[in-house]
Amino acid sequence: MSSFSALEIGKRALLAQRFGIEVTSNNIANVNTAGYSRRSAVLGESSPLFRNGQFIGTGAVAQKLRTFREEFFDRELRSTVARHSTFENDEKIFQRIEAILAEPSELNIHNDLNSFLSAFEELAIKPEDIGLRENILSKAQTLVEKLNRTSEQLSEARNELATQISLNVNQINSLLAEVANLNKSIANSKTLSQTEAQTYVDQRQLKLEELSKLAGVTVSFEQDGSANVFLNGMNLITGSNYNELRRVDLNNSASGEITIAIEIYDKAKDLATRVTPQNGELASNLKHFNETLDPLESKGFSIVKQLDDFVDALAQKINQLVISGYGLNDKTSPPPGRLFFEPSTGRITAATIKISDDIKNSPENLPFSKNPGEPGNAEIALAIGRIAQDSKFLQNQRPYEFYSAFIGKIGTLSREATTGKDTTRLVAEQLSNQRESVIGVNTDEEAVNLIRFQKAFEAASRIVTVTNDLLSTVINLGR
Amino acid sequence: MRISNGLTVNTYLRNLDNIQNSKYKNEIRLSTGKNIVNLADAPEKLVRVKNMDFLIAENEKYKYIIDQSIREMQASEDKLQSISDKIGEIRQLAVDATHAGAAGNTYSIGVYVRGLLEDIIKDANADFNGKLLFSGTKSTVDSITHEPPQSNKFPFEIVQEQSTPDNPSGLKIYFKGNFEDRIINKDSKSSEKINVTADEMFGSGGIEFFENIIKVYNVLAYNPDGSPRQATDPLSKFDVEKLNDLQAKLAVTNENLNNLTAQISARRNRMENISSQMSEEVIRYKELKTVNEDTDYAKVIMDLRLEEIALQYSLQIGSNLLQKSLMDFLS
Repeated sequence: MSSFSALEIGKRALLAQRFGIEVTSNNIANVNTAGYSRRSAVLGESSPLFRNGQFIGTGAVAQKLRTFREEFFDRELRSTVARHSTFENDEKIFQRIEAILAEPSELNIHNDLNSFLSAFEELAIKPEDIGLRENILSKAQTLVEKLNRTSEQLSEARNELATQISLNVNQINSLLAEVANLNKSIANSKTLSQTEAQTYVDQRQLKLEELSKLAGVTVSFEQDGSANVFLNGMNLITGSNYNELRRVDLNNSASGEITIAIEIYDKAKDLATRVTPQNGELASNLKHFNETLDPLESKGFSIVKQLDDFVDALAQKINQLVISGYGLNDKTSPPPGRLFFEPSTGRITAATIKISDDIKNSPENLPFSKNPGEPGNAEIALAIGRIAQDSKFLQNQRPYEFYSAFIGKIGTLSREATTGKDTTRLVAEQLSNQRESVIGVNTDEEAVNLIRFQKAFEAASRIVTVTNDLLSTVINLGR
Repeated sequence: MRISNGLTVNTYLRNLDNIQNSKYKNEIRLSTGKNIVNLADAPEKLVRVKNMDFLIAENEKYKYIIDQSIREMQASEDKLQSISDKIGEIRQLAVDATHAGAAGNTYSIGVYVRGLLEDIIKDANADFNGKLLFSGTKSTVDSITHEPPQSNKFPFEIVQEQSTPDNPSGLKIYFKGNFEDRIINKDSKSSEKINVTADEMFGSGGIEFFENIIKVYNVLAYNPDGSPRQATDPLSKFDVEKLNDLQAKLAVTNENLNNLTAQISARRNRMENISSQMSEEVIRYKELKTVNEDTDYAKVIMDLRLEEIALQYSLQIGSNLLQKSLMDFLS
């Protein structure tokens, strides 16, 4: 073994320790980078030389870059994040609905309705009093305006969901393209440095988590490291190829119901397949657009439909009573056939309800008397007041029972969303913590590594210096 | 467990977020006085609160209706009492007229009776707050129709018609209202009549009683031949018998009116009791509502204080934890 060998060992050691310092520096630099997984330099002994019947070491080399990413945590986290995102979006939507319905507060529809129906019974004290009649019209106007405004706001919320769905689809398509591109880079990693490949893996995991948040996708991996992504079991990404999502608006010509569906569109085959995302923000938005806020929903729980059913039942019952009544100035039969609420034909909804023009500005025309020429007769007003206690009002419930149950149902759904969000957040945090404890950077640890590699580098430098001195001594022997 | 920087920071931030969220919610509870900030907080309690709200509103409404009706019934009662007093006076006059000492004053007594009749008509036409009390559901003057010889839009009217042997004065009473009951809902299940109808008060057609008074007047003011009674015209035995008979009939009417007054009074008492009962129910419902809905200030203030302490220390310790690293000690 020559003195030059020692110089070679020193050089290898310098390179190996410098590699260690580089890896450590990269870890420190990325301590706050989202999705970054720490790496460590794995140093190994270089191949020994067999000399004089013995194996003699030749120093150390940087063998590989170790990464700590574990697919188990990534997979569990993607699945949990998708469910969390669904609940979080559900909660956000229900909170908006709560605000629209002014619940819980004193300014809700329930109180306006109570006040409106009470006014009829109060009128019976003095049915001929124009002031009390004006009071009924004023309460009716307040109720109608509240219903119209609520309906309009619920409709706006639904329209915003439609916009949000389009935005989700665009975000998903953009992420699909990015993941497919990263797949390509990862598959080609043989031509890349190890650090670069791992960087792509980390970036892809971030994108996959974002995708899961939006659409609850599932992922499987190929031998070359590329990720295949599925939605509802349908292929979204295969290697570097991907299919886009499309929003499809469906209009039911029979019922007039407008819903939104999602399709996976395969450009190559020009084939569209309908999918129903189960989790993620998109799934939540679709559910609330197609169900919770759909005025014509026939299967699930629709807030708008329930409210419309309530309004229709109320308006029709009052109209049925007043149509046979007489106003203060109606002195002869037959009854004038005035309605309280319009439209006079078809279903009366929270959006369409209004006070009939026959009575709107003419309180004396309010037909509350059963007989002509009897201003003191308030039989019809009393019957309307009794609607508040009608046990068969709607779905075999009284109005207040129906409304309380309606609000209770929204509250229950909202609580389910909040509880689900909190639970999944806890699970996601635990998983994230566990993953972070494996892949996260600890600056103290990196500082120790830095010192370790620095000292080793210094020692290797000494090898070079000492060897240099030795060689100088040898070279100068002949002088 | 290996602790990374991200783990420390994320956990710290999450805990800060939790404390601040909880603190925010308790601050809202303190400022609004309500424990349920969102529907999701306690939907089952909210349903109970809504039901309580309804029951409170219902009770307050019925209480208001009852209280208003009681005032009207009180007015009816007062008028009935006034009419009854006048009937008593007429009866007394009828008796007085039969006494020998009143022989020269029979006509004057008759005139006085007529005046009382007019007063009774005024009482019968009384209104409460613009609503005719004894006219059934034709409760406004606008709803009263009249045909000649009637001349006004009040429910009861004295009309001077052609004299006949049976009715030398030609006086006739017309009733232009109806005998319908006026009803209010006094609670969620039952109704109550709040008026007294003319037939209940004054017999058939709402005028039978008045005819008896006119007959008294006729006996006192007219001779049996139909000529106006002079001071020198004494009451005949037949007149006295007739007066006694009419006075007895008026006594029956008066008895009937007193019974009616008692009935209204009893009804009014019953309604006053219901009203008091409703006031108590409202208090009970409000108590139940407050248990479900309102903030427990002591608890929330304690919670808030604890959260403030936790936040303060969390911030103090956090700033130290996150600042120190081995890097700080490398030279």
